[in-house]
Amino acid sequence: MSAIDPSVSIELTGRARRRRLVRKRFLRRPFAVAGLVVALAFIVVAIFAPVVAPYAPDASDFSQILAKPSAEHLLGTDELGRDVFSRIVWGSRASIQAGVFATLLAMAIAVPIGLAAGYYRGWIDPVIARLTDVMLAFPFLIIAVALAAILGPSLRNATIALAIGAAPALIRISRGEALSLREEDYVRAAIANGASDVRILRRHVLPNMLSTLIVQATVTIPAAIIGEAVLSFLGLGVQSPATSWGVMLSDAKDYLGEAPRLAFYPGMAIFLCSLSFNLLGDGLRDVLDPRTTR
Amino acid sequence: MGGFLLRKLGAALVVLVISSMLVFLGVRALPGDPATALGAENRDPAVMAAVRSKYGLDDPLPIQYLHWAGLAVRGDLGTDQRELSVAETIVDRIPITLELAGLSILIGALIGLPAGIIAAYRRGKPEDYAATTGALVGLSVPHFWLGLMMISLFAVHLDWLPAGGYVPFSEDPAANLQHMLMPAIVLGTGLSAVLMRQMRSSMLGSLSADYVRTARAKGLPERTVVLKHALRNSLITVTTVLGLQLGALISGAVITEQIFVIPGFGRLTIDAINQRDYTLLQGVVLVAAAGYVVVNLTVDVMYSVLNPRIRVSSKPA
Repeated sequence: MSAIDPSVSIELTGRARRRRLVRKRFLRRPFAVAGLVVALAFIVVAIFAPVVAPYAPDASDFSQILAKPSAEHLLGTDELGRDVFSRIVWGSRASIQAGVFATLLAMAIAVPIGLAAGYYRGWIDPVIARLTDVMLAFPFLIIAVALAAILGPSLRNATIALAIGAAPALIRISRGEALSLREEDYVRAAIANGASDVRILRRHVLPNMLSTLIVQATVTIPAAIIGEAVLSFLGLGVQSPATSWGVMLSDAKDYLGEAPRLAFYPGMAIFLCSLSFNLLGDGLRDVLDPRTTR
Repeated sequence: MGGFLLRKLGAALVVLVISSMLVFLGVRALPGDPATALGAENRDPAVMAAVRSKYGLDDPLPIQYLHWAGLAVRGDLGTDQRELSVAETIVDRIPITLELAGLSILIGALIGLPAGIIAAYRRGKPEDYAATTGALVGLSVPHFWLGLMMISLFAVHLDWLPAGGYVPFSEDPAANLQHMLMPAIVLGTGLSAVLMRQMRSSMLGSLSADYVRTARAKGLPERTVVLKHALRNSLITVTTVLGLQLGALISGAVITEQIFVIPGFGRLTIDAINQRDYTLLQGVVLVAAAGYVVVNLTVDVMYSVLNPRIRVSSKPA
């Protein structure tokens, strides 16, 4: 075969062309890019916590209690002389883990259920709809607390509780998507061609739901992170001596007068992490929506 | 219309019944002897026996459930650990949380709705970006952190507002509002963000609709076009969103009441859990679930009243 002539333009396949378009549209949105960068930064910091944090999360230095920020302790120390910055870095592990895993678990539960309800309809749809309503009728906090009471408070149980809390909304969304997608022409053609249900779901329905699901996942993660903080704040999630942003806030509430910064920093971390995922999610939603022009 | 209402009512009842069963089973699923959970922390056999017979714990489960449900429907939710009537405690506390919720909705609507309208009307302009970014910030802020920060600033450092506690409105309206202001702002911020986004997206749809073009072509002043015509249709969606957010508001109230030490329904939930007062918890969760079902039902019905298309399209084919 002769050498490749660079003047000949290469025809990209449909899928590759779409990906490039998505990437271009995404890069035109500074907020979304910022969101992506910051979210990734948080994840990287969480993974490489031992490297990033200067101190261990439970290393107490009783000679420096409630110290103000300094060169030695970037964000100061808490009531037990532990370095706040390091605790935030280590705490990000629990918080982000809870957020991401709860969302993944919720999707793993919700998407198949929603798909079944939306695609097959029949008798299964009203049953699932009623069950979803029941799940929604309970304040999510109660479910979390019940789990804590039955299984014991821990990060794992908090994650499960958060997943259960997030699932109903995701069920509704996947159901809606499946419902509208099954009316599409290509699905009808596939049915007419005798394709099996599994094949249709796998090849036609699911891939087209993907963009909605990705957007939903990016917006569910911050809600789950905040949820973990709430649960740990109430003593139902991460237990001492392990740390998470919620635990730090709970410890800090007794020192609001002397050292409000102890509550400010972890809360700021939660806020920025949340904001970055929300910006990312919003940007993705705009980019993947065929109706937006830029 | 009648058939539609009946179907919605039926669905709501089904949800209510299943929820009550879950509550009932939940308490019985907790580790340990239900007799201990339901009344007697002491192991005195006589007391245990009394508790057993009072709650019929030796009867088969379905009988127990029916017995409990029967009492609940008549308003008897039992007595809690301190020998107080659960129903009475709940009835005392609910108005406080409702006041908090009401004030939060007021603040949320006062900020969020105009912001959404302006953002839609001035789409793409600086006002839109400012409002949209503000909404995103409002959604991302953990509201209990906001509460802690506000207490630190306004109560501890500036001493402008009380850090917590509650004064009944009937006793001292001014003090009551002073105590409720920060909690209501905390809850209202998140709500205003949701409302703003909903209003904006709904108004964007209305403003580009044909009837708005007609109104403009007729020469109506711009203010009338926006406020009288476009707004009216958006209000429908926004009202339903508001109704659905009520659930989130109540959950948010749980933490907010905890932080600001307000003796409301949310705080009751936490207290019941901390004190392992399962009779109280049973009653509280049941009431919360029932309340949610009722609100949802009302929202559904209202939506169909305001939007006739929903009534028609949901008829079974």
